[in-house]
Amino acid sequence: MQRALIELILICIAAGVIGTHVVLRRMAFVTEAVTHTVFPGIAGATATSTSPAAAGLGTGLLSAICISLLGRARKVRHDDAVSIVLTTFFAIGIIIVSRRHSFASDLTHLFFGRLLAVNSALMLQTAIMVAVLVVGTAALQRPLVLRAFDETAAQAMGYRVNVLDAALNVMIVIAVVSALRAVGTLVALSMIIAPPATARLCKASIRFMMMVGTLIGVSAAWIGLGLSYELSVHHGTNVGSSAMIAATTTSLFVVTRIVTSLGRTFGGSR
Amino acid sequence: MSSIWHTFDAPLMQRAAFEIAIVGALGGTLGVHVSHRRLAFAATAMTHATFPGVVLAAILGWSALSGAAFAGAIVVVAIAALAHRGAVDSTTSTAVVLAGSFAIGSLMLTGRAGFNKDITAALTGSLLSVSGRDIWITVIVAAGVVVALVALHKELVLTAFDGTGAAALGYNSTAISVAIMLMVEVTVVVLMPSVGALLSVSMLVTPAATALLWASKTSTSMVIGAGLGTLAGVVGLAISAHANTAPGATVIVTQSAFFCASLCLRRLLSPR
Repeated sequence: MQRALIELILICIAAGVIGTHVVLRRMAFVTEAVTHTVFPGIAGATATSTSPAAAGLGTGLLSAICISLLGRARKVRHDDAVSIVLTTFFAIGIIIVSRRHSFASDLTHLFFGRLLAVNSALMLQTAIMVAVLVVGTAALQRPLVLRAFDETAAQAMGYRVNVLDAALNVMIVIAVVSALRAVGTLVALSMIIAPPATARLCKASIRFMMMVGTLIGVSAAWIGLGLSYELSVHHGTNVGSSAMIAATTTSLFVVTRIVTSLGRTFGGSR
Repeated sequence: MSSIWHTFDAPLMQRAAFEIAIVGALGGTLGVHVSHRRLAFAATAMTHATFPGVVLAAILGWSALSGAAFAGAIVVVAIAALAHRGAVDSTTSTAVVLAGSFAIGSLMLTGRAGFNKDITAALTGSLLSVSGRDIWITVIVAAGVVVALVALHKELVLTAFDGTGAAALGYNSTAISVAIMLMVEVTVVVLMPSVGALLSVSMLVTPAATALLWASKTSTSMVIGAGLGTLAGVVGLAISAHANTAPGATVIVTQSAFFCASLCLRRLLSPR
């Protein structure tokens, strides 16, 4: 349980940092796509017994390149490009796993991860990826924020917008892969989007969005993990911790959304 | 080689081919509007939202289709409500709803060790076991959607490209948006048995995006999209029968191959 909690905290840091940029840039669909495009890599790695993290990173990065290239093609809308890449990669993954007997359990692991099977090797892997992300975003903070709010100004100041976008895509892939094996696609997506979006509802500044986002993520992880443990041990059910954590991040967002809009309605003029 | 001509001899394969041909045509037709209105992510969210619906239906003993339709309707409302008055952008609210509904679906699975066969089938499709009843429902829904698309054609095109102009002419663009979302929802629901919830968005996006590479007029691209959807469906099914791969996923990969081939061909025919 302690290992699970430490792993979750690491994931929350990665998610809070990257998620802030994802929410600012409205890149939730790309993130959702990446959570699916790492699947063929992981499926292929299980079949050929190579490292799933490396293979997932590989197909994830390949899909990010495809999305950037397709999105820039004439006559192809960006949303359509994302959707086509997502379904193609995922379908290839399905074709790979459907030839094996453990089909249903492979899918279950992809969606929900194996939080209680986290070992120190995986934690080290996650820690390295989180360190890369934190250093990367810290180094690119100014140009990334500038690009999010004023593309023209970023170009005028000499930043290469395409390179920045590619860098952000790569960091999204790293964040997703770092979360995937422990908690699965579901928590990866909900951790990257919901906590920073909740922080944004509270009108946090960008640096605070990252910190508050991480804190909200950690609290959701703690509540979700605790609830699923409590329900499983004392009430004899079998509640998955990943599903519980994702449900908690969503609930926190929905409640904050309702409270802030009530505040605006009844708070009068400020 | 002669075995290729006998691919569709078995009644099971004929049913599957008929089903995939109809859903291919339906997806390709409606998909042009999905692309024009940038609804690909909303459609993806809807496909994931059918999951808790299917689980709920399994628990309550309803049919999977009605459970999926019910959950899809809730999701449409939830995305709109969360993004109401610009509190967050619709992409973010869509992602939150998508993850949340999938989480609720899996919480409802509590007490089971993992996915059982029915639920895996709902997620990834089981084209070879579509029933005669599934096909009837598909035919009725496809006919209904096509009639609605033809009847509302002018309104749909106008509101997609010029909301202000449409409002000035007295069209109610909110009602039109609701209508198109409902059509996407019923389509996603009937796509579920054949290609599964997770991949059905491809049927709505890929053939239409391919068609839009070749035609800019909406009605022309709808016809091309329907043709491509049907063709990719039947070809993909035949390939899956020979290569012994998952049929739904093979159809999706075939659609993507058509798209890539079109993209390259288009480049070659009109460089720059």
